[in-house]
Amino acid sequence: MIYLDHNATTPLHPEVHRAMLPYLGEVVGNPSSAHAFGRGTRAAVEQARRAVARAIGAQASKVVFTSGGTEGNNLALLGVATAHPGAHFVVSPIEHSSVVEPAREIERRGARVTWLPVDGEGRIEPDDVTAALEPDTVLVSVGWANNEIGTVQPVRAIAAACHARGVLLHVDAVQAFGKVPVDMCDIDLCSLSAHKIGGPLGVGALFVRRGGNLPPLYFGGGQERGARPGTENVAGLVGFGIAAAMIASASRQQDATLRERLWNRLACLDGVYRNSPAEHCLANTLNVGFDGLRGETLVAALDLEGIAVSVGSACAVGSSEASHVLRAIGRTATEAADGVRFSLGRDTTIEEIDATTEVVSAIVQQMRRVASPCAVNG
Amino acid sequence: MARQKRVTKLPLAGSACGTDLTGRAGRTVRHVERRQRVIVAMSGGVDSSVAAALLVEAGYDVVGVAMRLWESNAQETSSGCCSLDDFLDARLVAEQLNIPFYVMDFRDQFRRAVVDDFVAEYRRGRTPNPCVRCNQFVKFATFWERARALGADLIATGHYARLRPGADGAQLLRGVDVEKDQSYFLFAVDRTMLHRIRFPVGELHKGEVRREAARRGLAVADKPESQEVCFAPRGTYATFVERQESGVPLRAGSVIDKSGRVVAQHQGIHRFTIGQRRGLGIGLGGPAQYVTAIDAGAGVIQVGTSEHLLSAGLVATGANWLGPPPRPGDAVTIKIRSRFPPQPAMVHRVASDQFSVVAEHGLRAATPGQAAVLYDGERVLGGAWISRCLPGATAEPRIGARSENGELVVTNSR
Repeated sequence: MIYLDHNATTPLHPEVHRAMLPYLGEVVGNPSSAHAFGRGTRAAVEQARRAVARAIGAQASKVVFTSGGTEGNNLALLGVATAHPGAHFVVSPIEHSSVVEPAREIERRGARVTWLPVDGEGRIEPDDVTAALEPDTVLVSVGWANNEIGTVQPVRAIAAACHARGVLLHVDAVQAFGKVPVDMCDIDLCSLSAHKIGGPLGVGALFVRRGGNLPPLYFGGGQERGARPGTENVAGLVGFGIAAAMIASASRQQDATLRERLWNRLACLDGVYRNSPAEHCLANTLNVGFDGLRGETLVAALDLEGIAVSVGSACAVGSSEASHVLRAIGRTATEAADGVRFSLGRDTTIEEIDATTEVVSAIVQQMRRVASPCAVNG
Repeated sequence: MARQKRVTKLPLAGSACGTDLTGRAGRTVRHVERRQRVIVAMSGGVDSSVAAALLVEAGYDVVGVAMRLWESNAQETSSGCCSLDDFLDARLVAEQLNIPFYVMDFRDQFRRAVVDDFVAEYRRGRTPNPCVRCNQFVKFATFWERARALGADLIATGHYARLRPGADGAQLLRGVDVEKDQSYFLFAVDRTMLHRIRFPVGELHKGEVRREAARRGLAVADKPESQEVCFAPRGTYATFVERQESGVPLRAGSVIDKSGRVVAQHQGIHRFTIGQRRGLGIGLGGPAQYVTAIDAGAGVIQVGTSEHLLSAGLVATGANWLGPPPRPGDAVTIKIRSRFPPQPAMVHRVASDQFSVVAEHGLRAATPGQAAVLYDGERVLGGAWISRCLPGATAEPRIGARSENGELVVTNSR
């Protein structure tokens, strides 16, 4: 099996696994308990918090642990909307559904939402952000890097523009963290997820610059200074901390060599087009379309041959919705259902890339042969 | 009397039985060299689940696909189709069978071929049969194309029907379980497709299928089945038709009796089908009144008594033959609804795209828009869409009398 769906989730790093094991076995203790057992797990959680904070250049006190990227995005949008009823929001149109759906919900609850324009590569112009701001705009939400096509946004410039106007900026950095350098300069809220960086599923964090201003989604025992109560997922957070520390100490960033090798070989086929931008793109992400071939069929055919890729976003079981991201960059409804996403990992090898291109080529040719009139009932 | 325990035997993957049907030697050799891949349409129901299990046990390379046909909405769909629960059930069974499983999107084709036709037929004063059209255009057409794209040799479903090799190609037979037989809904499948299809549960009775599911511990063994139109529960068709966009408004109109006298008002012809008693707004007292005709152009419903529902025969158009078409004078049986037993009839006229039959005991409530399917014993010869009735109730038809040019004469005994 060849796994090329790292944007959906990443394999647990062996060091993360090692670090988590005691907390899935002999260690016991609710971090809020007063006794030694509690102190032990409390220390582990706080150590993880410091590691995550260090990895994004922030103070530990501003890191709120969550159940993952979706919760962080909900906390940010719903929280700010609750604190500012009826206010105006500016949101990128190519966000993950965990940003789009809360944005739709706050609209239903009385907020106004302006969706930003993107160019044919999914990129947002900082000037367009400024132009969209209104006197009562309270929050701009832009993802650092897009999960489907890989576009990396000019976050620095967007952050500066928001800061200049005193508007809060939320950045969903779930896909960017670990792939591009991430820091919190001029950013007010930032979502992170552990399972995209070799950590475990089910934990993440929200960076919150000014904690007092963010109404919580949950009410309970007061953990996370009341921002997000609930007994901590100790094993998960320990894993998150180790994964975050590994980013900080990573010797090199993943580069785009293998991605381009994959693209260059696929481009030899007829009727292939690139949905991902060549520049300002995550080094591991390549989203392509094959004329006339449905993305979901191609993904299934590749799976039957042992290659794991994805169409659009992994989320939504049984859903075959055309990608809103591809629609936003100008693809037709048909093309938007045709996009196939290859997302490489740190351990992806050149042999895996070459084997993949062989299989894709064979499948594409077979599918086109089958679709042609001469092939009926052959 | 003890019943012999029937063990379902499927043609083994790569065996001669499946490949002989193609009649091409080169293909036969290729097939026996590797396992045949079959894509099973898995609805999450017990029939398709057992079908998949039987194919796995027979040694096929099985892949399960749940077909997303319609936008799933708790209010709109009946249980048993396209709900998230159904996909999960299918997925669960696939996991138990250890086969790959995908959900694939057929909504566009389904809307165009099935739903739009459903609405249009009601507006034309006819009664549609969406299940036949789904089989004709989606399940054994588009689904097959997608299956081929996945390298499939065959497709399979949980239909209660059988296929058997014959001298003139594969033959479609009714399922062994006469009560559950679904061969009626399959008449419009392209004949050239038959050798690509497997119906693993067609040899079984429904009770046996449930037992086979339970025996294998399949998650859906006790799941209640749905016999309804998948995109609109029974009783909601009229509302469904009203909700779909169309240029022509559905208007109220008159209900008239045989003499043309107005006896009631109706709220739209789309609410009625031939033979219907309810919803006519006709007072009690006097013999029961049934819908006998629907005039879409005039927006008029005609009613009559039970005898008025009998016709001598019918004319059906848009024929699809699954074998050589019968000839005038041939004795056949005909079904005009899936749940009505087959009626003895004689073929009157036949052309490549239509036929007419005269039924020995007459036909009751033959409905324009429904399928008329002809059988030769167990075998489905083909069928067509009922266009109109041949008038008159025939108690003792003089079938067999021929005119000078050899044409069959049908007398109206009234």
